[in-house]
Amino acid sequence: MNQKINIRLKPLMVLLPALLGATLASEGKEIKLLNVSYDPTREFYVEFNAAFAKQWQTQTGDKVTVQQSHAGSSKQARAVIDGLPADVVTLALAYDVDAIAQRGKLLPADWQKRLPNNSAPYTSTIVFLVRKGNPKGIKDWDDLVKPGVGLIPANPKISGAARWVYVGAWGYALKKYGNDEAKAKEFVTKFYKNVPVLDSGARGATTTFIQRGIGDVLVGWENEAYLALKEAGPDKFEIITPSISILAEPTVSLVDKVAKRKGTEAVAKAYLDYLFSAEGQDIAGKHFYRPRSEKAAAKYAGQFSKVTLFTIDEVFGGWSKAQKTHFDDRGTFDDIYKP
Amino acid sequence: MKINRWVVTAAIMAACGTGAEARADETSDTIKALREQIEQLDQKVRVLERKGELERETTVEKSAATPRLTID
Repeated sequence: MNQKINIRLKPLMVLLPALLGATLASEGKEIKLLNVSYDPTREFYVEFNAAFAKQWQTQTGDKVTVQQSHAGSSKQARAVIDGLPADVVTLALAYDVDAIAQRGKLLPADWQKRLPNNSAPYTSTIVFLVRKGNPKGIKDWDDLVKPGVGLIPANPKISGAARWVYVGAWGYALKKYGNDEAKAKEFVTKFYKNVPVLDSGARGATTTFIQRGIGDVLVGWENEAYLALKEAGPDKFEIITPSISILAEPTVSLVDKVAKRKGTEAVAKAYLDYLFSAEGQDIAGKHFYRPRSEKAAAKYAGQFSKVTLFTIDEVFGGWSKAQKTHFDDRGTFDDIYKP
Repeated sequence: MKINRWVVTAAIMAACGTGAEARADETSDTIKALREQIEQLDQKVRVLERKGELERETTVEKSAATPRLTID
């Protein structure tokens, strides 16, 4: 009897490991990535991550889960330098990724050349969100420095958006006063005199303005303003696009040393490449970022107001110079802002 | 004489009317000023509350980041 069973089970026992192996192989590996990003990209990356995971599974059979971490851009860069194991960073500005390369030595100094468009898959700008009816009559940057106007930007020492706001205001003043730095400083000083509270990040500033009902103008990311308008409703807020503003270029990079250590280099690279794909660009446009690809840019052009944009290089000679002069300790911002 | 009486009555009524209007303007100006003051105070309270929230958040973050030593 026992012999009979053995004879009958033998082929099964031989086949079982093979069957199990085949099943496991068809299920693929489980991979986890960590994307360390800045404050208002939460909603965008939720949709993008799901699309990428689907595409990666179809392509390789592997199941990838992308975890997200969000806070002020500089704060996030510091966290990565201090050991937060990011496979990729998608930060608000190139200077913060430079910091990871220079201080953390986690990626090469020429990281920006590895992907198209200087590793900036989408762009944005700085606009003003005001309460319905625009009770303070805000039209342009000049209106923000009038007495009695409450402005809500974030803290430029911590937040990427806030640094874009600062350089936007400074750039506007330079253009207005014929590159007179003293007058630009006076203008930006008046701007920060109108700020009752500085949040650590762009999302916090949105909370201060929308949920806490503080201030007259939220000065921040265009995509965040459109998202707020979509969520709170056009019966509560209006977007004011100034005559000129800064071309904000959030940048992305592989964190080479971390990805290599975790064995996730290939999938992390594919993740970043996917940002530049037709699908990635379309999702960016859907979330109110300005896509780089002509097709997606044309598709979403109608949702943005026209604005003349200037770059950080034109006005400040790049982020390194701007950071040193304005945002480092004892820089111009410390001189201007006295809470 | 009758005309004069009518003129005086009209003048008094006009004066009374103007006074009432002036009082109404004064009242609405006061209400407007009070409303503005209330709005300013409301903003001040909101700002203080928000600053408190942000300070608490910073304290929590700092205490989470501070290394702790325990001796058993």
